[in-house]
Amino acid sequence: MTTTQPSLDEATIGDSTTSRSRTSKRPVWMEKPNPFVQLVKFLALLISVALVIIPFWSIIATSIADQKTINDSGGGMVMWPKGVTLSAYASVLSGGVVTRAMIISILITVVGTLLSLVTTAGLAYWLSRPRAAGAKPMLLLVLGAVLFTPGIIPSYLVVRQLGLIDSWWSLILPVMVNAFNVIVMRAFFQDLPQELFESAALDGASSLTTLTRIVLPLSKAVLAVIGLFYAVSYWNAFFNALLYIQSSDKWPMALVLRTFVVNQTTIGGDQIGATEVLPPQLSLQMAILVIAIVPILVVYPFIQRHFAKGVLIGAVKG
Amino acid sequence: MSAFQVTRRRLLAGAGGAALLGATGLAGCSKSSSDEANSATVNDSVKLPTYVRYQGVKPDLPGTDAGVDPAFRYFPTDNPSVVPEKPGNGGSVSGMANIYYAVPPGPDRNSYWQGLNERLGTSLQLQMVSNADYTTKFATTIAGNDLPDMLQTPNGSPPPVANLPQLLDKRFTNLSEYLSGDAIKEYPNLANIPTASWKSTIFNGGIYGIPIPRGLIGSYNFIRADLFEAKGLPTSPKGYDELLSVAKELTDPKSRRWAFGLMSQLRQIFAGMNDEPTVWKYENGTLTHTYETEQFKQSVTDMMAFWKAGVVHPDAFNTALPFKQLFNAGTVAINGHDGYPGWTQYILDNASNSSFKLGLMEEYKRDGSGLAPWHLGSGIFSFTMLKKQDGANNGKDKITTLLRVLNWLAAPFGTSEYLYRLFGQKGVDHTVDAKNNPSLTATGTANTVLPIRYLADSPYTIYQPGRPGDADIQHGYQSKEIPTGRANPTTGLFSNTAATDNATADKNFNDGVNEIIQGRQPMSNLDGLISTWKSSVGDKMRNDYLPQLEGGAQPK
Amino acid sequence: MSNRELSSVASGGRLLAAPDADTADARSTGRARRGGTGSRWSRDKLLIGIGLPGAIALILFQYVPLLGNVIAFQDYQPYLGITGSDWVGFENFAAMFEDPKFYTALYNTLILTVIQTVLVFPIPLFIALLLNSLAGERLKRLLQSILYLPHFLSWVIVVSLFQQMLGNAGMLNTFLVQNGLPMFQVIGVPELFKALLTTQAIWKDAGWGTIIFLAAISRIDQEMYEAAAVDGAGPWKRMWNITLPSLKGLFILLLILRLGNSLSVGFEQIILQQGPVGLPASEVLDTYVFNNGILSQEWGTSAAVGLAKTVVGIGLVIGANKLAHLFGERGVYEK
Repeated sequence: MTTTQPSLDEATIGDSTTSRSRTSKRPVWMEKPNPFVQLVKFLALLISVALVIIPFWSIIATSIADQKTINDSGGGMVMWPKGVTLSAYASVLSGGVVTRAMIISILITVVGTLLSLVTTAGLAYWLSRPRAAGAKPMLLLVLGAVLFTPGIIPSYLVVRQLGLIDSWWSLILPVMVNAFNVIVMRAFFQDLPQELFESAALDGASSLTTLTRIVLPLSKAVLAVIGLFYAVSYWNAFFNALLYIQSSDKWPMALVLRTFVVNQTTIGGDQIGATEVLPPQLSLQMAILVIAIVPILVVYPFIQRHFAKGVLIGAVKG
Repeated sequence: MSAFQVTRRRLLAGAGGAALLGATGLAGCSKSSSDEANSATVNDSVKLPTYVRYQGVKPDLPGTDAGVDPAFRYFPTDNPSVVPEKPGNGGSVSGMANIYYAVPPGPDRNSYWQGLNERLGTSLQLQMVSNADYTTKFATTIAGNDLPDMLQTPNGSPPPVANLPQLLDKRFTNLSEYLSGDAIKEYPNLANIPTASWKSTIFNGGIYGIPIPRGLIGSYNFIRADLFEAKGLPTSPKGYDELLSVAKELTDPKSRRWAFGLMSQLRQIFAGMNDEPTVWKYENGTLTHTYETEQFKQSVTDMMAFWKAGVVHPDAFNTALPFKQLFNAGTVAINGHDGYPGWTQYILDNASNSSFKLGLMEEYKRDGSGLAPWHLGSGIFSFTMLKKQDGANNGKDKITTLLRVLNWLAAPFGTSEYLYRLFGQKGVDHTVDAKNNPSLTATGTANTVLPIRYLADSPYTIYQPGRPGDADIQHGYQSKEIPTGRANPTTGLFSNTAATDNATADKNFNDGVNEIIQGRQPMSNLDGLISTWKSSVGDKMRNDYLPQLEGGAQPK
Repeated sequence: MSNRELSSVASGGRLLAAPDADTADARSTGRARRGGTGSRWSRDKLLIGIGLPGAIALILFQYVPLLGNVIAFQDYQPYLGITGSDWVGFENFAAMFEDPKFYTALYNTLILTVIQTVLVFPIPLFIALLLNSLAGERLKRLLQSILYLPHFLSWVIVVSLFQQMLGNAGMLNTFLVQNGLPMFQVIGVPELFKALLTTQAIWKDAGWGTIIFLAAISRIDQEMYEAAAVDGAGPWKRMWNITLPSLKGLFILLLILRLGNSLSVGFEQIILQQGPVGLPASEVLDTYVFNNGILSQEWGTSAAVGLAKTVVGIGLVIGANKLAHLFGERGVYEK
């Protein structure tokens, strides 16, 4: 182990510098791009990006539109807000419900993602080692978990039995290990060069040492991706909160968002007796949608760094 | 592609694995023993709570026994207190109800909620569930047996809960000893709830809940009077031909305008115009569903004609059509049979739109000879069940406390309790104008939306702050329509098929009808749809209801 | 350098290619393997300990609730619980197989499964390759960030956006009508419903799906490209001979996992849009469960459909995995 370690560090460090220097320019060995191919690529990407940007632009435009602008566009989404107002944002953020839910969601996402990564990597590592005791039946169980989806009420009863009702742990523990992610991570672990494990074994390194000093450092890309998968699922999850969290005080953002979005079209629905002029319902929905997406947008680039470009080149050579 | 799909999948697996709420295993084989427990005979023997109308505040336009809601032009200046003692004794009570809007801040950051607890003398713990998710949450709550003290049934009459009588019997308190006959006078605000509403809470020979009363009018035909007037059109077209020509005048796809929104709204207008029964008709010992009548076929033909004429919004079959927004925008001119408390919301939504003018459309018979019969609502939104309590006399003390809390919450319009419940603390949650009309502040708007109105409520009262004329419009409309009212004879009766399989059968039936209206299937398919509907649920519901009707249960 | 040589370089990179696992672990665990089963367990104590927390969570929250599926054989009453409810044998399954609507739903599901597997599933891979072929790292990241955005919108929003843009009274058609042009009807046309669903699915998740492929691409040894380029292999050849072989294993793994859930084809997305096109064109198994089970509280039948779906899923996974083995791939589990 002691022999592998320095060379590993060297490789990683050495690479991160080279990859940084490569960020904006073509590697020397790469030929000049073919202009026709470039044009086709450019058009394909431009169209895809436009198809995404236009609706998102409309979401933002609607969130800052006043009732008149919305009425002028037939009661629907707005492309160009004439009367710009931030009242929808002010209204959504007043009362502290949304800010509180935001903090709760951030907390759950951070704690949950960390726990998920630790347990998922641990399980995947066990299952990835050839001939490890018990790995085979466990792998089948994991695979089975991809196929079987437990029902709402049986899950509820388990959570209740564990005394987790109305606790934030009920939003983390039941979804902490996702079988799909375990299998993907295991596949990545399996592709690490076996020579590394051999030399580690020769050095008498324990499985824990091998995991923390060889496997994980070499798996930053997949850890980043799986971490992102987990983070996003924690961030977006409303359904468990709906079932397990009793006090609305403890609601995460996704559930608050849902109450804004799903309650608009009930025919014969009861109305509140409010007398304050509220921003248009549609603007409120779009505003909270924007608010809910922003944190992910902020965090994403930091995670993206780890899988956007080869980080671990060279390490393979051990 | 991975973890994030889980939620969606779970929802279904809800089905798969989980499953469960009520549940008769197969095709509505309800248990015979329970049929006896919930028979017409035992239910008829229940002495309904005595109705004692609250007289302390005098409406500008009085309500009628037939079902017209009382109306106020201004908020009463004198607001008497009707609950002299604090209902609670310092403990806490819990409740669960649905909510239509964003949730309010929790009790620690909500002065309105704190004030409410103070007035109730108890700490009120509320679970709020958005309306769209309420049945799911309700199912897990029942299955997990994590019942709050007070639980709202899902919206409907009867509530769409399988085997409700058995469920009530096993888990909830029979309130007869507290509320039957004159006993209810202990709770004068509950006694102010009209008798018709209580009928929907009778099961297993007992009173099993507190009804959330709603007026018999149920819905209004809202119209954009400004759009009608701009073209000089009659706001209440007389008969089929005039309705069609008015609709054609209103429609202009180039400026994104259609006469009607959702097809289901148009369907209801024709149900009245074509003299269909209000769901069921009980006559000479036979019970006929509207689908089985010639009038219904006429309505289908009419819907086809209107659809072809292009006077209905082209996305009218999309059940998620945001018809309220479309109405606000003038994209849809007639918002047929929308929940009648919507008046307040439309006025508020359009406060900044000076051209907006809200009106109501009366429904005429097909030949225009007079008003069509109005299909009356069930008189309730839902009802509140009280869970079985432990302790001496089946938790008599706790039940009494809960009823006292609900009594406070049901305080009638104009009382000081009502003023606080809806408008909170003066100066913090609301301000008042020169005419004593309360108006919620931004704080009040966020803080006061607790769903306590779905645990107990006073009978509906017409009142539009700052717009005295609106009271006359609504009261006038109700006064015209209510006398033509036709009730559903099965209101207040329970049929397990109606609470379960009917939802599926009705969806399939209406889907088939929609295919016909859109011309994808021939009209001749209708008979097949009707006979499928009959054999899957129609006859079963008839068999459930008939003995109850013959047993003498009164049409309500 | 010939193709064959190139691909051998690629598998030297080992990324998710078929491993020669036997030889490798024979060496690494050779000593311990001589002992019996007991000593394997004691040898791997620590390893199991590392994996155990995850295993426990999985079993507790995935498998214990699965016991609840027995209600497929019950007349389940939630207030009575599983122990108190009546057993009805296979009645719920019989009810399902006797219902002609079930077969309509099955048919639509299978068609959509084929479309989604053949058409939708590979798209993220194409986008990932396209992005990867761009030289500018910053541009690449920016584009990727934009393309993954729709993933964060719930189906309620996505469906309503499509309605607003393409609906019969939406932006596009209003524009067409106002200019005297014929309408472009996509929404509410039964024949186009599957195309609409596919378009929406691509719009929402194709960008997001690229992430995992980009992670895999990031692990390919850049020196292989360099060596290939020096040997005169052009960009296409490099992609064909290095990138794709390196991603093959992952692609197959994801495909097999997808097949396991192939009978779940976008419940929320479809249930929100059934109204205008009607049930015959739009009913799939998941909406069938909702419309015939949850809506009418026929939970037994619902559970039965769920079980049937799972059985099909297991069959597909085993079959696909066998097929993968035949082609020398690893699949999701080894022989």
